[in-house]
Amino acid sequence: MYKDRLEPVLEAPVPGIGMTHEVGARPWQQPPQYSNIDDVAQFYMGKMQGDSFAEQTLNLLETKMPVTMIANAMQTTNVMNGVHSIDIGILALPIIMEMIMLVGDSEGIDYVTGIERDIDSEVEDSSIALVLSKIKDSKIDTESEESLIEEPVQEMPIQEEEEDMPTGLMARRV
Amino acid sequence: MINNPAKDTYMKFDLAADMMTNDNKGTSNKKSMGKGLFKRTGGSKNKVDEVSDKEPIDIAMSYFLAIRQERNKLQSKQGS
Repeated sequence: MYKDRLEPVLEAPVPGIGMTHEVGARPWQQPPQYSNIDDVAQFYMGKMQGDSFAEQTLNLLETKMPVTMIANAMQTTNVMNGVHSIDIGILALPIIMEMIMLVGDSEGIDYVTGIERDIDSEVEDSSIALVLSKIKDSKIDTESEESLIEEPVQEMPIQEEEEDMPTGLMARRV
Repeated sequence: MINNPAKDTYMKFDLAADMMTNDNKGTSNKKSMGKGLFKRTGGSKNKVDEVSDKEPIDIAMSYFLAIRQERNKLQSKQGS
């Protein structure tokens, strides 16, 4: 079918996908349910105002699960279910995160956002860089000093090679 | 490579929201609409047209700002 074509075939299914399921049968292979950001935002806001969602989210926030992780999971799940496309999902991510934080704030939960700066690791990195630069500087200094001071060349003692003594049954005894 | 799309997009939106709020603080909020006929022609713009003119990122930003305002109100209430 595609054998004699010169141009690349971009609408062809991924090789091997026929072994999993019929093409177009999965929700994410169909046109999305909501195609604009307004509808998607309304969808998420409506979903988040439910009691069951709030309870589940609060449980997750109490376990110190980052808000970014919850938002990512929600978004990818809805892409998988064919609710919206990935592009709209990425645009909706900050809205989802802000809503989750609003729910957490309203219940007075000390949640982890997942966007905090890891100061400890940053300090460690900078201190490692500092130590490395110091080592480099000290190496350069010692090399320059060594080049300035000529060391006396020590003569290596030449070992006299021992004469090979014939070893064999027919060798002459000394 | 983006490892955490939620973090990256949130930080960009956060920065943009901060910049927008700072800009709004500096300038007056009143829009000059003009007078007489100019005002009437300018003000007769349909709301539906205004919504459709917006880019998706602007719509997302408006939702983001609205929720953030709610959060700020809540935090100020809890603080007082």
